[in-house]
Amino acid sequence: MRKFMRKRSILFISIITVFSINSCIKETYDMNKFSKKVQLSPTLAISAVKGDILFSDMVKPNDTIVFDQNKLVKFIFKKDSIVDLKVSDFLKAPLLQKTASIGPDSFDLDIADILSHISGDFQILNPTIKFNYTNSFRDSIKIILDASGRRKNNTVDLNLPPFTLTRANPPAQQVVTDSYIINKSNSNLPILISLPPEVIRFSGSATLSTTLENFLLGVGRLVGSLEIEVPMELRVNNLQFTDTVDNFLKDESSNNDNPVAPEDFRFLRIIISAENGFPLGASLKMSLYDSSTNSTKSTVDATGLLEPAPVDSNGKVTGVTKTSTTIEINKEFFSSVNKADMIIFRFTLTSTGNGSQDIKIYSDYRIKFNAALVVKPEINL
Amino acid sequence: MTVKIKYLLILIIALIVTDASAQNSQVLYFMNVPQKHLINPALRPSNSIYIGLPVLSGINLSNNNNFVNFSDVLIKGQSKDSIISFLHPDYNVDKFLDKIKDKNSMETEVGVQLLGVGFSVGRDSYVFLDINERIDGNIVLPGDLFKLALKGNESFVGSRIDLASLRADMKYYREFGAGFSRNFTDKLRIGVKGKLLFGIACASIDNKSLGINVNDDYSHTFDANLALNMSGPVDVYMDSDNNIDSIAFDNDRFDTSSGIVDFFSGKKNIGLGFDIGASYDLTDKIVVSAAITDLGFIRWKKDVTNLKANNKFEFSGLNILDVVNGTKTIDELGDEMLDSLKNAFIVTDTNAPFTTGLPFGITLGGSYNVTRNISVGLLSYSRIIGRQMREALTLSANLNVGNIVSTSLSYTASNHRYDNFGAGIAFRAGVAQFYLLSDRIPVSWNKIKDDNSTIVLPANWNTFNLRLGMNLVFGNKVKEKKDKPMILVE
Repeated sequence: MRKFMRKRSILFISIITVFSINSCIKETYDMNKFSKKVQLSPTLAISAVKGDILFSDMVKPNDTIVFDQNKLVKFIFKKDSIVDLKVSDFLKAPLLQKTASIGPDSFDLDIADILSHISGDFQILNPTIKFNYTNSFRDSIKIILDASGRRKNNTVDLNLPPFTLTRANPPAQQVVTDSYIINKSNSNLPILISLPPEVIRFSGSATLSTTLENFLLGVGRLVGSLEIEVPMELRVNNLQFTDTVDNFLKDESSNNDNPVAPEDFRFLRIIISAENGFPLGASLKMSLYDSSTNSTKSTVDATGLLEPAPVDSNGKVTGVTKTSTTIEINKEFFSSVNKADMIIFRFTLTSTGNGSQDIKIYSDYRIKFNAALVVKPEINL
Repeated sequence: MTVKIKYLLILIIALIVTDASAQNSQVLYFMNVPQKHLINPALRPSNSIYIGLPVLSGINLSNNNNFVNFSDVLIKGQSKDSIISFLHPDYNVDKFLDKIKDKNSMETEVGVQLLGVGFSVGRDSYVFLDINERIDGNIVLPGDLFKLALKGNESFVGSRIDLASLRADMKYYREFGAGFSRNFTDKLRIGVKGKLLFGIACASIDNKSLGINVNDDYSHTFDANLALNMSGPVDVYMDSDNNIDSIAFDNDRFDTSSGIVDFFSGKKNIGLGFDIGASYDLTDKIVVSAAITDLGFIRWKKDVTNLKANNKFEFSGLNILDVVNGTKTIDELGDEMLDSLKNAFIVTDTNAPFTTGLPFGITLGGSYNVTRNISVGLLSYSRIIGRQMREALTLSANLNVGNIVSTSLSYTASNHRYDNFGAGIAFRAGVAQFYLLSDRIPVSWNKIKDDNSTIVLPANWNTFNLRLGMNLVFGNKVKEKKDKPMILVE
């Protein structure tokens, strides 16, 4: 019996042994060829910036920008004392037909620098120039105002016909205060403003139709100022603002201590979701530019970044336009960063209907947006 | 890479990916060794007296994970013979993530029997005492955590990164056990074992809620309600903003022998444990058994630190309106956001005692004696760890020869693997009984070589369990003819 049991136990142990021996080598790993490269490349997404912004949050009213009672946005440019004529100013002229000179003078809008970056169609629909004056002359004064706007080599004349000022009516009214409105009905003002002009030059004359008696009495003064009012009623088509700046992305440091290098990113996406309540759409292009070779190294294109909101027949916004735009900055862009010394930004604005509809800008227009960053770094461990 | 670093890497990987499906070896149940009472206190060996020598009588090593294998982390590269890790850029991360489960667990157990004694009292009773040094560790890593680390949060947009299943528990404790089993009828045998537990060190995460909602607009809502409870020679330092500044190990207490003794005595962290089991002879050849083991807890009172976080925080980007308004600068907005983020995860540091439960096991087994020496068996072992349950089902063929040699071959379906072949052998030379058993014997191996050396490691080492030791056994001649579970009769 013991022998039998012993045989069985030997058989059992043999099975285990054979089982173990039969364990086979499945793979051979040559650790001399082990790659030490260890990298994580997660795609990280985060909401970076958000906003729900009214026009009035962005632009506060001041002397130049005003919101009227209907919240329409207007630009106001004022030039005081462009005319200050006394009797003595008329003495040089022939008797009974006394003419005094106005100007010449100029009105610099200080926007030449901005305008140098702007191209495209731009129409201001209802600008006005208000000539405000106080007049104590008893006789009528005819004003001839020659004004022109200049932008670079382009000049637009105002083409304003002569006009006559309201006169005082003594003794009941020693001084009269009044305004003369220059607008699209009596001049080329919309075209002039839509240049838009860097400088407005003006000159002219004031002609006093007087009697000898009145003139010899030596009374009368005319003081006048200009107020240019540009309500934001406009059409914009492919208005481009282009600016070239130094490449601020370029790593100028000579050492390699910076733990984050542009080439460590596979991509960076900026996802912009917007509910645009402005009747203006926007696109953006950013190009890496090498000025030494006059070549563009890489471009990020964000066409259709914002689409304009719809407007009614009066040019007022009736709703919002939702857009979601992804701006992808890829590895090729990152690898070109250090090959460029400049970055060219090209910002394009278009109004509703690609500039075919009148639009108005009100101070209660709003834009709601959220900008998320999606980044895929290559983290070498 | 030096040879040392290379093999250290391999060792670490092996430790991470090896697996022991259950605390107790499945094979142990079918072996004729005194330690089988660890599976069911009603089970007793055939000898009448055993003495376990300190340390030598039993060493149990287990390591466990349910989601990844050695061959998943070291892979053949595209170029011939090149080896890459799963974090290499050439490796398909999706392929790795396919293997990741919702709850990915790793368990480690080290058990050393410091002392063991068992002896028969009369014909029907058996008394056993033992002292065991035990380290139990388990970690559950949510699948979303791997996805988040490897793929990022973009893939979660519109959903929640659910980290509620994150759990970690590591305990080092000493177990004093006293047990007793007895035949209450000719067929029914019942055993119980009471345990007094002395906790030495513990770190445990109590996670009630942890997650991040990633909204469609890429904003994030973080919520956390969890606590890290620690008992051990660790000092946590907070800064003035109540953030964790540093965590330092308290070396000073180990400068004196009294300090060392005080630490390792664990006398202030007391717990209780309980095993109960029964076996029943259905027929002369069929025996069934059932047991619940390791039911218990430890109350940790000494050197306690509780770090709690219970916050909700929403990050939705910088609101540019304030910058547009001119009321704040972009830098100020950024600083505010960072402060909010910092404050959102402020933890409170307290010293309240806490309780940890032991992972407990439920065993259902049966054996059929084909002959007087050969039996086949079926064993189900369920291990409940917190809110998780692991199941292992083992088929075995066993041979016990004359109370001299006991062997077992087993097949275990466990831990999502169905290729676990195990074996055990115990043999007696005089009064010395040696045993060695494992639930999984690797059937395929990988050879790891470099210029200087070659080692072999299991290709699919998903389950690893090794128990070995030596007992002094007396009264090995069994005169009783009545069959009892796993007792050989001459």
